Amino acid sequence: MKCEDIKKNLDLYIDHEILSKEEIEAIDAHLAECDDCRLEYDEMKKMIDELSRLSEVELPKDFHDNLMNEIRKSNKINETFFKKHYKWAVGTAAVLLAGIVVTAGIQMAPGLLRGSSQMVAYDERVDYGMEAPSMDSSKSVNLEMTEVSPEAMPEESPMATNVEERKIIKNIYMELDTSDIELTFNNIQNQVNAVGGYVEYSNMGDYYYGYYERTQSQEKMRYASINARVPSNQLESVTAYVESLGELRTKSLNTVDQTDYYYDIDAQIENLKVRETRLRELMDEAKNISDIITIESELSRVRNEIDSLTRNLKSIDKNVDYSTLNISLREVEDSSKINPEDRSIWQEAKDGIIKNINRIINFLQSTVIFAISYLPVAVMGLIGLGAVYWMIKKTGIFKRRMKK
Amino acid sequence: MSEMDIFLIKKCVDGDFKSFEQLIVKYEKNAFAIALRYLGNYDDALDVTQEALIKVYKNIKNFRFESSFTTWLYRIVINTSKDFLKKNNKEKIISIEDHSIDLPDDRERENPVKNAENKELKLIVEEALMALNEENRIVVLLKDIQGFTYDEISDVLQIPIGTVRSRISRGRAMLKNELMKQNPDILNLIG
Ligand SMILES: [Zn+2]
Repeated sequence: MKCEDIKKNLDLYIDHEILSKEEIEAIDAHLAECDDCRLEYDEMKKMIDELSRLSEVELPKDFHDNLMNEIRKSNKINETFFKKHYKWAVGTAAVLLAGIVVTAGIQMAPGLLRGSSQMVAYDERVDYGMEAPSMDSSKSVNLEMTEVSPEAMPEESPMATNVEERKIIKNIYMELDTSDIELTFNNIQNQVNAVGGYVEYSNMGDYYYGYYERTQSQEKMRYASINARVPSNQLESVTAYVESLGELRTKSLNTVDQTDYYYDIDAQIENLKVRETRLRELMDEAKNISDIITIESELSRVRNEIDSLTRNLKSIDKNVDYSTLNISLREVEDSSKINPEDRSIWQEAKDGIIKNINRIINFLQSTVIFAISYLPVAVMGLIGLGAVYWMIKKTGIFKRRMKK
Repeated sequence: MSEMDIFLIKKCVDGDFKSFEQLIVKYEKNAFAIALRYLGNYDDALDVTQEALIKVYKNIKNFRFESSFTTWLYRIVINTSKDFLKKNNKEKIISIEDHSIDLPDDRERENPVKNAENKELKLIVEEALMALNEENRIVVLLKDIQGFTYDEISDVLQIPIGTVRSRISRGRAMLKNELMKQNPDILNLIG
C-alpha cells in the first residue's frame, strides 16, 4: 500500500471501523516500516487521547433536583390547563341549558341564589381536593409516594450521645396553593429570616401554560418559588408554619447520611497532616537543591489536598447545619378575589360571568340533586296516594254498589 | 438497550414519575457533556440540558423501541442545542473561567508543574474544538469525546455512515490544524 492510501484509512484504522482484517494487517505492516505514517498515526492518537479527557464534566449538585422540580411543575400546570378548559366547556354547555331553564326559574331565583352561594364555596373545595381525577390518576398517586409524613422524619440527632456526631443532610420540597401569593411569599421569607435562616433564591412571576410545547395558548397564572436555608433544628417549625399558609399539595423530604463519608475525609486529613509534619522535618534536613525542590512540590501537593478536603468538610457541615427548603407557590383562583392590578371592567365582567355560570351550575346541580334525593320519597308518596285513591275509589264504588 | 431501561421506560409511559427519575439520572451527565462541548458555555449548556431532559419526559410516550433510548435521548439534546445556537445566532467567545471544567485526574495529581501544563493544554483543545464548524464539531465530539461508534453517530444524527466517516476525517484534520496554529509543537507535549 502507498502512504496515501494509508493516510486515507487512518481514521478507520484508529476507530476500528469498516476495514477488513487484511486491510488492518496491511496498515499494521506499513506503520511498522514507514516513519512518516507512523508519526501521523501517533499525532492523531495523542490528539484523540487529549479529546477524550474532555468527557469529564461536573454537573452542579442541584442539577438533578432542579430538573425534577421543573418536571413536577410542568406536570401540575398541564393538569390545571386541562382542568380549566374542561370547566369552560361545561360552563358553555351549562349556559345554553340555563338559558332555557332561567326564564322559568326567574321568580324563585333570589332565594335560591342566596342558598347556592354557600354551595359554591363548598363545591370548590371538593373540586380542588380531587385534583382532576380523570386526567392522570396514576401520576398523582406516584407523586404522593414521595410524600413523607412528619412521623417518618428522622429524629434530631438520634446518636447525640455517640462520639461521632451524625452528619445528615435534609432537603424538603413543598408545593403550596395560596389565594394571596404576595402575602404568602413575604410571610415565608420573613419567617425564614426570623429563625436565623436565609433565602438563597426567590422568584415570582407569571407562568404561561404550555410553555414547553410552544402552543398558542397564553393563559397565565401567578407562580413563585423560594429556595431557603434554615437551621436544621428549625426545619420542622418552619415547614409547619408554611403549611399553615395555604393548601399543601406536595411535601417530600430527602435525607442524605454523610456520616461515613465525613469521618473518612476527616481521617484522611489527619493522615495528610502527619505527612506534612514529616515533610517539614525532611525539609530542614535537606542539603541539595534537587531534594529541596522535590520536597517542596510534595509539600504543596499535600497542603493543597488538605485544603481541598477541609473545604469538603466545611461544606458538609454547612449543609448539615442548614437544611434546604424548596417551596413552590401557586396562586389558586378564588372567584371572590380579583388581583388589584388586573381589575378592569373586562376583568370584572369576566369574573361576573364566571360567578354567574358557577351559580347556574350549582343551581342546576342542587335542583337535580334535590329531585333525585327526593325521588324515593316521591315514589313512596305516589304509591301511597295511589293506594289511598284506589281504596277510596273502591270503597266509593263499594258504597255506591251497596246503596244500589 | 438494557432490560432495566425498557422496564423503566414502560413504567414512565404509564405515568410513574419515580421510574423516570431512575432512568434519567444515568444519562444526565453525558447529556450535559454533549451540550457543553457543543455549545462551549457552561451556563447555556445547563439550561439546554434541562430543557432537553424535560422534552424527553414529555415525549417519552412517543418513544419507539426500534432505536436505543440513549440514541433517542442524545438526539433530543443535540437538537435542543442546535435550536439554541440558531436562536442565539452568535458564536460564544470562550472565556477561560467559564470554560474550564476541571476534575483533577491522576495524571494531574502527579506533580504540580505538569498539572499546570495539562490545564493549559486542555484549554487549547477546548478552544480548538469550538473553532470547528458545528457539523464537524458534533461528529468529533460524539466520536472522540463520547466514544460513540460510527453506527451510533449515524443513528443519532440521522446521516449515512459514509457522511459520518468523511466528517470525522475532516473534523479531525481541521482540529489538528487549529491545534498546530496555537503551537506547532503541541502534539509533542501530550502524553
Ligand atoms: Zn507511509
